[in-house]
Parts: sequence; structure tokens; C-alpha cells
Amino acid sequence: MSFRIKRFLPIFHARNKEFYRDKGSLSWSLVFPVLIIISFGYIFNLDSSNMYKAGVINSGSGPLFSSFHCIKFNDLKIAITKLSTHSLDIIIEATPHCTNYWVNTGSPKSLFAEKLLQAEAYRNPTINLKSNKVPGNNIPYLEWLFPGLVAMNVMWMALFGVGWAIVRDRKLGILRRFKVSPLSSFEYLIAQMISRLIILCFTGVSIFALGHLIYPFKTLGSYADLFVIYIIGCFALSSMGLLVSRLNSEELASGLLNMATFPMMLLSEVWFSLQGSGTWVQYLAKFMPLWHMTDGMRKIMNEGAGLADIYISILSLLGFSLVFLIIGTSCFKWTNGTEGTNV
Amino acid sequence: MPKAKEPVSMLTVRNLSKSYGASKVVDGVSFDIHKGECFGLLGPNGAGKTTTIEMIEQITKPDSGEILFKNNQPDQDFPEYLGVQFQETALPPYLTVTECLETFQNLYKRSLPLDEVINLCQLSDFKYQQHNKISGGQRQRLLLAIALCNDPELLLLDEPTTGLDPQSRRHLWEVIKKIKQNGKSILLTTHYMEEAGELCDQIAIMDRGQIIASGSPRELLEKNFNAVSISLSGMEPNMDVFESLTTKEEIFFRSGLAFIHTNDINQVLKKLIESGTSLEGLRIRESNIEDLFLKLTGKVMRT
Repeated sequence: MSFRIKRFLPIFHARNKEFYRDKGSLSWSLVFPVLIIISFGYIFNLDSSNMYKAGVINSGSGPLFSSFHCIKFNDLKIAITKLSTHSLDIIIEATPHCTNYWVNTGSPKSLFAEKLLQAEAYRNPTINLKSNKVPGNNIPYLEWLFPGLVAMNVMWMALFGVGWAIVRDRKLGILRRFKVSPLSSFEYLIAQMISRLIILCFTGVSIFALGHLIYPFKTLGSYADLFVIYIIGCFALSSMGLLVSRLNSEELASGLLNMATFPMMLLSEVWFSLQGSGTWVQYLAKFMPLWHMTDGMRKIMNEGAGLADIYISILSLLGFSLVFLIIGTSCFKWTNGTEGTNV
Repeated sequence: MPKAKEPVSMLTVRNLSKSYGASKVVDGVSFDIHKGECFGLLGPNGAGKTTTIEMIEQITKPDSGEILFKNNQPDQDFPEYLGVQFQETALPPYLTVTECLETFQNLYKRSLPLDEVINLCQLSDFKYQQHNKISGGQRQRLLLAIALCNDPELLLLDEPTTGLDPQSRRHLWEVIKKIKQNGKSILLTTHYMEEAGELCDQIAIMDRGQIIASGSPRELLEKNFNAVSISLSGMEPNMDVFESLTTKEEIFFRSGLAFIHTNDINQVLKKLIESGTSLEGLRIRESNIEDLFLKLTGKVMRT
């Protein structure tokens, strides 16, 4: 595996130039997430949804629970963490003597859920409610959504910017031309990866800045920690792009990339929390790099977590990167196997 | 008497073969290219020229045979000494002509000064233009410049002028002649006979994967032909006049034209006149490589 920085740099520069000179894709990569922020900001300001998620300790049934989407918890501590981070709106624990409930004082939705519970209790005087308050920050949906949007944008740009671009270069014969030069496949692939990382840093910072102009987000954790998980996520998703880089057809590569991105988009809690969904769905999500990136960024931004708190996501993303890099580089080929068609 | 100096072999190809499925596209090809020599591999489409050159470029693995660079097996540094121009190639998008050259130049340990390559290939007027916005001829010169940017010892040019208009083709020939003057060894594949005659010191004619004749163009013509070629239009092989010609004349037919190769032009013309053959459209010229190919294979080169 030979590597010379002199051979790496020209490929790295060529890829960067392609990105910033292609005005269409440059503007779209910045405009798309901002458009989503604007649209979702508007939609969720108008939101009148009254779907409340209740964490139920042990078990519960009866009219008190009928107004909520109930999610069973055995551990109160875990439920309180979910409540404080807005994954739940209320916690209800029915005991023989009284019904304990917990609300998040920083969440308007949680306070509405409390009113709903009190209304049910008012209709049934035998219920003895005991209130508990959990301090929490007020995290509007858009702030919860933002890390997911950023991660999703990274996913598109990384997978298509690395995987699809390599397939295109091979189909056009650009790789064939490089093959007859001293450039090694490792140098070529690393140049693609690093170029994409730099581009993703630029777009990530731009989206963050533009997003702040439109909607001033709060970031409770450290920006440095946020940057670390962002970069590791970018690296993992760029490495994932290498998995399709062996293909000869751009159409097939697009299809496979879409097949990978849509489940990730739905199951990585980009748009909605998976609380209340099946255990296997939540388990499956942990096998998706996008979930770890979103979860890590969200914990830092919304909960003020540090890198130590999200070490599982960091290690998982590094693990994904390693596996994808090994598979991607070992499967890489310069030519599309059409040699001999023009004898 | 001092012993004559042996020419240095830059590339030796021995018994090279390659099959794709049941089709043997290269079949026992052997040739040598010496230092400073332009070697032409000629043949129609499908003759096996590109596969041969791809095996030399190490893009395709030969089934059998040997390729030696300066009498040694090519090592991992072989690409450093090789300049390659493919028949068709794409370049990284959105780069200018100069940036393309810089990109490739930096992939090599050694390189020619960029201005020298730009001047040699006559790229100065559009060196800041994006490569996808230049003409076909200019693009071929850019690809040639890319092949030259590492100051290669051996240049592999795979049909560099295919698809170019006659003016652009001649323009490129001038550049290749200058490269030859600089002492580079060149392997050129082409199906343009005029190009081979203009540029090549040695040629090998390929057909169906095999070399059917090789040598210098002059040697091959002298060996295979009498002095001149007479062409006549509107002729059919069964016409009586051809029976009256001696066995010294070689006669070929193609597209309604008869080609008579002879060293006794007076006798042939006399017989044509005596037989009442119309001499309208008669042309007399020296036999060329195209005639040679027609003789050896019965095929027209430009297919």
C-alpha cells in the first residue's frame, strides 16, 4: 500500500475544484437543509398536535392512560432521562395508594400532558394524583430536529459524493487513465475521502451558521465536542460510500445508495423519536451510522453531553469506518472490466 | 573493425496472447521497439491493436507471453517511464487545461516543465479554458501533453488521431514528429496508412490478432510490390484485359476499382489501350502501405 503526499494532493485538489465549480450541486448542498429548516420551522410553529407520549412505569391501564401513547418502562431513572430530553411528555406510575406522575418543566408539551392527566383525574375522583417535576430545557422540535437534518445532509453528500462519484469516474474512464500512472488505489481513495471530509466541514459550518441566522439554536454542549462527533460521523458515512464504489453502473449505484439511505433516514431518529416503536426497530437503528451520528450530535446539542457520554456512538462510528474502509478498499478496481471490447 | 553498436531495445514483446472467451484477440504477437524509434501497429478495427497496447500498459493481463522494458520485467516503477494516450479518455471534470496537466504531472517523480509541454503541444492559446470546452483536435493535443508531462521514455499512443478532421490530424502529426526528434520511443496504433507512412520507422501489420508482416515501410513495400500502382475505375475481375497481363503484375479489386501493381508501366498501358479499355479516371502512383495491407489481407484498412 504505497502512499505519497505528492500524488495524493493533485487528486484531492481536483476533487475539491469539481465541488466548488459545480455551482448547481454546491448551492443545492447548502440550500436544501436550510429550506428544510425554514419549512419545518413554519410547519411546527403551526403545530397543534396533541399526541402525547407517556412513559408508564411497570404497567397501567384504565381511563387515565387512554389519552396517551403509552410506552412501558421498568426503570424510572431511564424514563426520567427520556422525559428531560423531550423523548417523553409525561411519566405515570400507578401505585396502590396514589398515581405518581412526572412532567418536564421546560417542555410546553409536557405541561399540556399534565393538564390532560389532571382532567382525567378530575372526572374520576378516586384517583389520587401526586405531581413530580423534572427540570428540563425547553427544546422546541426544530432544535431537536436540527442535528438530524445536519447528519442527513452529511449522509447524502458523503454517500453520493464518494461512492457515486467513483463509479462515475470509472465509467467515464478517468480511473483507467489514473491506473496507468504511478497513483495507487489507496492514494486515490484517501484523496476522495479527505476531499469529501473538507467539503463536509465547509458545508456543515455553513449550514450551522445559516441555520442560526434563521433560527437561533441553543447548543448546550461544547462546540469542539460537536465538531468531533460531526467529523467522525462524516468519516463513517464517507467510508460507507466506498461500499458501492466497485460497481460499474451509476444507475445501480444510485439505486443501492437510495436503498441504504431511506431506511437510515427513517430509522435513525432524524425526523421522529423511536420511543414507542418495536424493540427490534430500536435495535436495528443501532446498526446504522446515521443513528449514532444523530444521537451523538443531539446529546451534545440538546442535553449538553460531553464526548465521554457518547463514547458508544464514537466507538461505533469508528468501527463502522474501519469495516467500510477495509471492504471498500479491498473491493476497489480501476477499470470496469470492458477491456477487450475494443480490440 | 569495431563492432556496430546494437540498438537499445526499449520494449520487447514476445509471443503475447490474449483470449476473451472463445475469441483469441491477440495470438502470439512479438515485436521490438528500439530507442528513438516510432513503431506503428497497424490494422483494421478488431485486429487486436488496442488489446496489445492494454497488455503493455498493464491494464489487461496477458494469457501468455512476455513484455520486457529495457530487457527487464516491468517493475512497479514502470508507469514512471510510460506516457499513455488512450483512444478515448475522460479527464477530471471542471479542470482547466493547465490544471489537468498539473494534476497528472504531480503524479510522477520526474516531469517536464509545464510551459515546455504546453508549447510543444501548442496549447498556449487555451491553457486557462476548461478542458471540456476545447475542440476535438485541441483535446487530443491535451491528452498527448498529459502523456508527455512525465518526460516518458516510452510513449504509447492508441489511435491518437481517430475522429479528427484532416487539418487537426496533420497538426497532431507535427507534434508527434517533434516528440520523435526529442529521442522518445513511440508505439503508435492507427488504421490510417498515411499516418503510419508519415510517422513510423517500423511497422507491424496486424490482422485477426496476429502480426502478418513487419519491417520498415520501405522494406515491406519493396519486398511485396513492384514499382507503381495503376488504378482504373469501372473494372470487373472477369474482363478480358486482365487475362492478357503477365503474371508479374499483381491485380486487386476494390469498390469498382482495379489496382495493378507493375514495374513495366509501358507494357501495361499498351495492353490496356490495345484491349480498348477506357483510360478515363486512370491514376498512377507509388504503391503504399494501404496497397500492402490490401494485398496481405484482402481487406480495406479504413473500416
